[in-house]
Amino acid sequence: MTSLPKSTERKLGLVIDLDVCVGCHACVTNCKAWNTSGYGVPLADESPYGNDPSGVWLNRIHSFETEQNDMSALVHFPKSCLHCDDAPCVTVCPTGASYKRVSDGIVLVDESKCMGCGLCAWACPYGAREMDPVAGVMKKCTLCVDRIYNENLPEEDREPACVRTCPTNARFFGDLSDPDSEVAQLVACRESVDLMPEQETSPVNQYLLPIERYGADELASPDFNLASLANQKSGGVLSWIDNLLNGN
Amino acid sequence: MHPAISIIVFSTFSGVGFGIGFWLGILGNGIQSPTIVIAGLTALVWASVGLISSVFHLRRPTRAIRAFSQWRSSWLSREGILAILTLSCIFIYIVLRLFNINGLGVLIMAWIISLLSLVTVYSTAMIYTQLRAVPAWNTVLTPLVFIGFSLLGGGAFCFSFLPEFISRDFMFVILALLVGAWAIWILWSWRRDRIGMGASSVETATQLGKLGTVKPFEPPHMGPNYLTREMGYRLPKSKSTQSRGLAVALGLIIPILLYCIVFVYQDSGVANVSRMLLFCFVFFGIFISRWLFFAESRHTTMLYY
Ligand code: SF4
Ligand code: SF4
Ligand code: SF4
Repeated sequence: MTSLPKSTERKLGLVIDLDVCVGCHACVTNCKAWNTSGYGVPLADESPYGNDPSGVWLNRIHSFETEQNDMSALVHFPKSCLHCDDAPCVTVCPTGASYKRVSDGIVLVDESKCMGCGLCAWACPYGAREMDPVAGVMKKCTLCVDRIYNENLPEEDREPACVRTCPTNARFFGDLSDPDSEVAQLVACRESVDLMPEQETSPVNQYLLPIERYGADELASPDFNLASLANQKSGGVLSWIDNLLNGN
Repeated sequence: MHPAISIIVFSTFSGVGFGIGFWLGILGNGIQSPTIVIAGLTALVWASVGLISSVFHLRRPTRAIRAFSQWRSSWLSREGILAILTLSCIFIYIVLRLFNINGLGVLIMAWIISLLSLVTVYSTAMIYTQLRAVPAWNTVLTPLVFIGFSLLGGGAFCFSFLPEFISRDFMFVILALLVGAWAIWILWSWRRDRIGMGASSVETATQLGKLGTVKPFEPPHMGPNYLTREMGYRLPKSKSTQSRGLAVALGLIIPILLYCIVFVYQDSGVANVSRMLLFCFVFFGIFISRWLFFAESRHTTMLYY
């Protein structure tokens, strides 16, 4: 049934730390590697070695530039399905292929039922669903449902491939409905946000905003001088190397 | 949004088909059996062409039968069921009329056909209206556009090819529909130009507004992908202005001229030709407007690009 459950027993999801992500695409690559041989049909590529390569990915990294008071920042922005509580992609599905699980809140596609109409991809405001060009069924992040409960894997591997692989620890996985979980605590102690709240999708995944290291007043003040930050004094062996390299 | 030809054919042809169905139900009881059977069959053909075309949009058409299962939540599912139900009613009705079976039951059935036709077109529109991610579609004007063009298309078809339908009153209804349906469309386009991405913006999409102005720096992939092909279709401004002008010229202005000719030179050869051309032009106009309905509407996913 593509009606949404009134509530779910748990809310499994990801917490993504925008302060930490360096945009290395490791999670993207590992997501593709795991999911092309995991749950459902492989993630197809079209003309992978041709002039116009294109393929299905369940996780993608955008990068944004922000600018304020002549200071700009580059923010790498991973985006995958947010496993929304009020998922519009589920209710539009005419075949019953899309559903949200009551037990853990994961939004999945039953590929044996999907007729490839693409309406769910239109309904998702975030662009988190992609049609597989070969199998003709809808693909989306499964929250690595075939890892997190997989008893054939060592305990430490029972988390999503993207979380497991992230070299900077920018991605966390857990139950956001449990206030004692690591993810819930992160959300509580950092400034965390829903993407596009005006779309009323109630996303489960949370994004932790970059930490403001300098206040707006500080940045605007004429005394604020970035070069001074680089002018650190070193001592001991480091100062000896420094002097050596500078030819003093 | 990518203007897929299969979907445009689906909604315009089924719109005309159910439009004929609507007028058949309203006016049919006073009309002789052969005309009614022809009208009913044309409604069936137009709507079926539309429904069959929609199947071509599916990547796994053999599973289309499953689409009837989720009527509790999905407008696409409801649309499918209502379409089949309406077509069945039209079919039964023309069989009854073919065998000259009349009576209260048949009369009520005709009304039910009109009602079902309207509700079916409404549910077609709701497939798009429900999508908050496409702010241009997410308005009560969208069902009005679809219903307006359906009644106009069906009415114009009767006007052009089924002379038995045309009473003096019906002549005026056609004129009112022409003006009314296109007025709603122009209002819809006007709103579309102003709504943009609605309440969403790159700031709400990334929630980085606190850090200042936000602009995309690097996309996740170098070439186009499913998302940009499906959601990122952009119509060049010059082409947009041209197509809008063409839609209104073909669908509204020329039909009004033809209508005047029919009105002034009643029953002459020139009037008969104009009468038949009227539907053709109206339909071209509706078709182009439906193409614009997709081609000019933008999806919030593109805020990330
Ligand atoms: S992010 Fe998109 S695909 Fe995922 S649950 Fe929300 S609406 Fe559905
Ligand atoms: S593409 Fe598949 S999952 Fe998506 S709405 Fe259509 S049938 Fe449902
Ligand atoms: S949870 Fe799994 S499927 Fe989802 S983005 Fe991470 S690796 Fe990909």
